Amino acid sequence: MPITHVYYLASGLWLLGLAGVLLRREGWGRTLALVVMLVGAATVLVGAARAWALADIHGLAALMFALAGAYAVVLATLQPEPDREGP
Amino acid sequence: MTVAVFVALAAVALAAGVAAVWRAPAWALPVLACALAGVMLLYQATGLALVTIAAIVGAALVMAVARGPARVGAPADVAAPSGRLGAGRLAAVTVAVAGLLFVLVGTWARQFLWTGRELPPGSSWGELPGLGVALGGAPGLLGVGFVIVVAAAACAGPPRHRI
Repeated sequence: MPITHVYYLASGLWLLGLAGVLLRREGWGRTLALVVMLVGAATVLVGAARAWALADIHGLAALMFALAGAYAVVLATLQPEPDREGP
Repeated sequence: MTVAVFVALAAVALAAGVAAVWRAPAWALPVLACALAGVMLLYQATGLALVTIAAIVGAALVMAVARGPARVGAPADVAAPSGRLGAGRLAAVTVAVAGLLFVLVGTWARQFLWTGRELPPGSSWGELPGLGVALGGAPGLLGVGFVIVVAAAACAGPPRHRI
């Protein structure tokens, strides 16, 4: 597998996330777009680790994936809940 | 054959990314995680594929649970205006993203276009024990990850009632 392929995929994901961050206005959509950006950045590390055969980069990528998941959870739970006692 | 599998997985991942950005459905992140795990298996990163599925799908499940009652109780006219995008805003973002796409993909394609750089046959590199050794050798990273998990667990608790 050529190394460039995973870089193309990572670029696409990161740019998709960036477009979502710039275009979406509500918190839920922007949160998902930020998670897509983080996942794209971590995918770059997958290609880099494969190219240099360094497991340390895998560790950093694993931390970034965990960061993306935790980030999504924190922001989703911090969204304000609508008032259900209204008219 | 391997390239065809990669193209199929990458297409699924990008489609899930587009869906996540465009409509923000709850299924987009699990699909994205599964497709990326397939890509990582192609790049001999089996341990990382397991970590990816566990982290992203777990987060997506928690997000779905956290957003479920809010989505049910939300008024119908709240989410409708957010889907509309202005033409000028869309054009500006398209130009910015196209420029970044040219710079990023063009630079990486020229810089990392390597041939013949392959792992030796039978190599166990990329499996879970190696990933464990790499994480064990970086206690700072593990500390940061622990803080992140604790913060996520604290924020994922039951909502506080305001007086």
